[in-house]
Amino acid sequence: MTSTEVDDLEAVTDVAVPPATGRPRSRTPGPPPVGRSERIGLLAGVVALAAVVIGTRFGVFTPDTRPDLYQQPGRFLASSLDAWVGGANGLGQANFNAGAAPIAAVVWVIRGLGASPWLAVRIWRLLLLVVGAWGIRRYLAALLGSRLTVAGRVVATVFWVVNPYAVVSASTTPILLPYALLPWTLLAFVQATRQPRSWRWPAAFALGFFAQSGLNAGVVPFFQLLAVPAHLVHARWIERHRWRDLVRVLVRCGLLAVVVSLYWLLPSFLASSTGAGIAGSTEDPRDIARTSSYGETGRLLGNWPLYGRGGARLFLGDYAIYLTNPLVVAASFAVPLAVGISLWRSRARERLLTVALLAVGLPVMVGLFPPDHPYAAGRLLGAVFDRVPVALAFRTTNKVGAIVVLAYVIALAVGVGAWRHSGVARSRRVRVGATAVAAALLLAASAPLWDGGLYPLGFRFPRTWQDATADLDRTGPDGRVLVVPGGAGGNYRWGMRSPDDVFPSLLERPAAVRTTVVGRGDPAGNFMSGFDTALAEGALPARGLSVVAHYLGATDVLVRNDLLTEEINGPSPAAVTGLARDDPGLVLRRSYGKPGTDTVPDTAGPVTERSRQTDRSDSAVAPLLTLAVTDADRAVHIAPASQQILVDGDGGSVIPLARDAITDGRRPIRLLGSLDQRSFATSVRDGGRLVLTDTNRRRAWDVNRVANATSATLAANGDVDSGNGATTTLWPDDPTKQTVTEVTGVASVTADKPGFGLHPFGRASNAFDGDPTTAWITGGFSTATGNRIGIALNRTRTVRSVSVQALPSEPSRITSVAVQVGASQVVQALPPDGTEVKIPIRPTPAERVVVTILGQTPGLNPVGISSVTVDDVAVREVTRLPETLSRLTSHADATTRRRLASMPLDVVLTRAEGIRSDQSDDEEAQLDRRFRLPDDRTMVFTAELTSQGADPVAVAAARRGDRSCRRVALLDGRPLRARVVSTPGQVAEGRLLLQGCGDQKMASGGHELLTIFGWRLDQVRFSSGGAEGASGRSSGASGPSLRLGARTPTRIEASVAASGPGARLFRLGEAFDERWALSIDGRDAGPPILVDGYATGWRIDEHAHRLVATFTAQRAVKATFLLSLAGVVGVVAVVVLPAPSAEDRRRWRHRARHTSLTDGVDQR
Amino acid sequence: MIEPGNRPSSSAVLVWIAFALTAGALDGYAGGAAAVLVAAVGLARLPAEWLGRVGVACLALAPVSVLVDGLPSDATVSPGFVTRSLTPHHLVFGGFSLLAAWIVIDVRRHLRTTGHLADATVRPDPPDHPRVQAPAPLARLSRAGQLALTGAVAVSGAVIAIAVVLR
Repeated sequence: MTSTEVDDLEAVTDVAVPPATGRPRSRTPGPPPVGRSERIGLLAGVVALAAVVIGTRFGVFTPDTRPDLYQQPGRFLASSLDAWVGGANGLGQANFNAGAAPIAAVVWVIRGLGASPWLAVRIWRLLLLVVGAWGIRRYLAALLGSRLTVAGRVVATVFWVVNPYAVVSASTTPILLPYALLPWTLLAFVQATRQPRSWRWPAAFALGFFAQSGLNAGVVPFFQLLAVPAHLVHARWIERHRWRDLVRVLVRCGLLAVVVSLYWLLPSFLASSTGAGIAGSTEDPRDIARTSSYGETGRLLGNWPLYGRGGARLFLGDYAIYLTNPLVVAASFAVPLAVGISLWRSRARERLLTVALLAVGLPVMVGLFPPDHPYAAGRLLGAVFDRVPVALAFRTTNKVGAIVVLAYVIALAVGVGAWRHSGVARSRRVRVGATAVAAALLLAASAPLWDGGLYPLGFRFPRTWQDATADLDRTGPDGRVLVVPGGAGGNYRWGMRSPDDVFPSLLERPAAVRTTVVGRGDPAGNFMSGFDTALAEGALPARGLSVVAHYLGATDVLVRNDLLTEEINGPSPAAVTGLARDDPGLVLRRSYGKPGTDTVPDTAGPVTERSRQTDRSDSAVAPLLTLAVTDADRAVHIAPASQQILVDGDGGSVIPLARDAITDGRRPIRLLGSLDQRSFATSVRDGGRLVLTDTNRRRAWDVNRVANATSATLAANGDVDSGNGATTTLWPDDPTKQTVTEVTGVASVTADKPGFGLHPFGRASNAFDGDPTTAWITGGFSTATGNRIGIALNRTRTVRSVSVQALPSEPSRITSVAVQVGASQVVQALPPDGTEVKIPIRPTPAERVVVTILGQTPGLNPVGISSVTVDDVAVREVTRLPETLSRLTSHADATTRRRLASMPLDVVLTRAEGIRSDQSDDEEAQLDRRFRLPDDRTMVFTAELTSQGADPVAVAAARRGDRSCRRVALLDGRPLRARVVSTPGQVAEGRLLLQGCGDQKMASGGHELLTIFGWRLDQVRFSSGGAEGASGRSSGASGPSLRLGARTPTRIEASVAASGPGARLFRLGEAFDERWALSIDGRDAGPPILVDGYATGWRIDEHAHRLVATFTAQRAVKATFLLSLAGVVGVVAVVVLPAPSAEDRRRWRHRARHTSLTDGVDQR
Repeated sequence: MIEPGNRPSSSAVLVWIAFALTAGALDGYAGGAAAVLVAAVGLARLPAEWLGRVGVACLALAPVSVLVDGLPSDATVSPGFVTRSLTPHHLVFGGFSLLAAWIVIDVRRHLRTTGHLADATVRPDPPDHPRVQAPAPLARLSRAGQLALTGAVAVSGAVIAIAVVLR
């Protein structure tokens, strides 16, 4: 060390070198006292902060987490204690958010003091910011002691509150709360390392960790624990504490923190599958990391929503100033620069702590960046995310930012201290100038605080919603409300934008609504997606809505026409309203609001004259409608098992079952995929009806849309997880229980995934099917270049001729392709008129033929290839139905087979058409199917198609009343003949109904139905009769024969009266979860079964019983809550109560010895 | 870390290798370049403070790089703002990693010079000021206050516990 460097060091730290004694010398004298001017400054700062936090968008509700936390804090608090909650779709899910309880308690107190919801948000946030500022002062005082300067303390205080991370990332409570409490928690840890034998500071650490809460499974508090290793480094090498003492401190802090956090740790663990499903369905780790460069995280930004947009709308528009304003950009980059200068100029010992914090915080915050070509650390992190589902909870690595801010604060505090000790700062003019510059930079770096942009997302609940929900609560407090249409959260034209919907905030009753974010293969998500997709695509039959309402136990239907359906490819308000009003099972109660208000897509507010002219139908509907379900059932329901429908398919089968009048919404449904061999035999013994469907299609899903939100139906080996959301396909890893596609003519057809979202239409096989009216479609938003399509031939053969025909799309179309045939490749330009081009290749041996798009003209529309002809190769893609019934039957005993043969059986097939009003988005051009029958059957064939899909000659004949038999399809290679039986009115409407000419004798085993040119069948049904037991309307009940008793979210009591002979199916109405248990007259009924496609249920006998259903995880959750509560009381006592003095301990020891001696005398 | 003016010790070489591997894992070639720069400064016997200077210079150049590339308007804001150029990314990483290297070298030097870094940098207690323990949390509360607070928490806990049990 040079003498100059030593001088520098001593100038800053006032060092004298005492002899080493071997004892820790860490106790530092206190920081400078708070003077009058600092006090006044702080007071002024708090007032300014309060003015900004409360005054910005005064009166507007700006929730920074779930809105119901502020709207209904009491209910929110109560639900935090439950292991089972309504969840996003209202049908129930395990609760992974128990950690929100302390926050709800505080907000409940704030509301109790008279604050309205919007004010409660502001008060809560102000409280946190003040607590955080206070905490950072205490922390720095403990860390730096007398070396903390007043100027450094002020800079640190202000910077902790006004920095880009506090403004943008900490705009939500799950981040702001741990951010505010981090300094307090670390203060306790620093002091604990200095008193390693004391339990007080570890207890205080535990309290700090407890107060950070376990909101959103405690992800942020866990992230912030990464600050602890840096403090251990500081304690060991700077403060010279022994490892043994530090380990003791670590163990004590960890132990107590776990005890007080058990209440949310256990529920989070129990609900990890739910949480992982949601995590897997929402943001992709690579998308999150797309903006988290060192440059952006260095200036405390990088949080992906800041850079995101949906169409023209920026997700966080008011914060965009951090990207668009040069002054603000420069000021925000001045932050890491100032930190760097501080670290460079200072010689303070806390520099090592700062480096350790940055070494952990910055790389974690950066995460996978650059996501497309990550470095080694990013690749490792990506592998962890890919292989450990629970790790996905930590995918938003930006949340570790508080550690980086803490490092910056320490650096700035010591930097300011160093500067104050330097000669430069002796001039008052320089000090004033520097203060002004620092203030200007801080103001610019926190611009949204001062320019009115602090709350980008805010709204007021419209009167219509308040009135409608109040009326619904009055009319039927017990029953469910079915809300249509579904969506991707609470995104409304009147301003609300949230992943959480409005219902928990306004509605006391439970609401069932489809949400696009579901758990992988979750039955409830599957059921809701099935019917709501049909609604969004215009495929719901006339009674579809009321039938679904019956299955869900909904007594009312709420139609919301103010949802931002235009952003999610949702249905038009007029279409949904029309469907609801025309449903004979629904009765209009009331409409709310003026017609046209917030109901016209791409507009907001009252209807304008222009909207009336451009969108007459949507302008004419009210924002909200409520309808009553006639003869409604409750969610808890019981029905005779003899009326059950055993379906090979999924929850989406309700729609074709309702369409074909197989169910009225009361016949219990059991999905064959959920049955094992034994329960299958029992079910067959109970009786009912068998239905084979082409539902439960193997598809990848997109969470950003509600219609056409999937891939095309995949082959059995297709990647069901290739969407940006979890698949709703049931039993996603067992293709035998799914509807999948199979190709004939080649080994396989493959295509690259579209670069801009999935869609079911334009599947790859369309290019090879010989039909020029269908095409492989890809490349929306100019992403086609590089996309490939190809076939693998059945064997190596000499390919002599290839021709390609581009889809004549506009404005963008494909201009050139590369055709690879074996080892030969030819680049070929394609003409703009879409004519077929013969590729000049020489005969080449090949196993594969691949066409790669090389160019496209400008335009955002998708492009495609209509035809690729390879010699005489003919490709056909056929859809194969689930094979569960066939498999179960093949392993069944003779009795079961005999019973099975006597049951009625239907094969119900539906062509995948996409949106009905759009002729260009059909997934399947033809209804080609393969299915297996369990036994020999005599079937009646019926079908339906539109007149556009029929041979014009046949349509003309039908208009004339011609009922002659015609060949309409091929069944197992033989002509299938049918006649048109439509009434003249139906023909005029364009509907052609077909009736088979005679019965079809079909043997057990596989069958293939292929449609033929001129008869594009939309729906097909093969029916065979049998002894069903009972038919028509179910005699199921939730009324007189089922009486509901006490009910909590995790315990439902009911009693059932005796019924006629035969078993019954008891539907709990809650989403299926194996942790539900039922006791029948005190005896365990065994594991639950899947009933009605989504619900937990049990099969019970015909006798009268008392039933008690419980969610078993609740017991453990309650126990851990009590343990945590006791832990909190204990650690508070340890923190607050004085420790016994040495004199006290001596006296106690003496007394104990004396008592022991006395006891000995007595005993003698 | 390699210390200018001295022959690199084996521990310094090991620390440098760890630094180089970490920097490379975090930022690829740019991280490797930072490690090479650290080695070069050490081998050239330049003052280690140069690393701090270069680090600060890198941090200062980051906003220049962003501004030179141009800022988007509200209509064009997108993740492309970040991904269009990796220069600011590398500059900020390089800046902080060089500063970190400088600080570690500086701290190690003090440690080796004095034998006990903590003693070398901790301010001694004033002669008339008895050595204080880390204060107890809420030590300013009176005994009655402490008991009252603990009692209040205990009672609240009991009430909540009863509510939970009865639920």
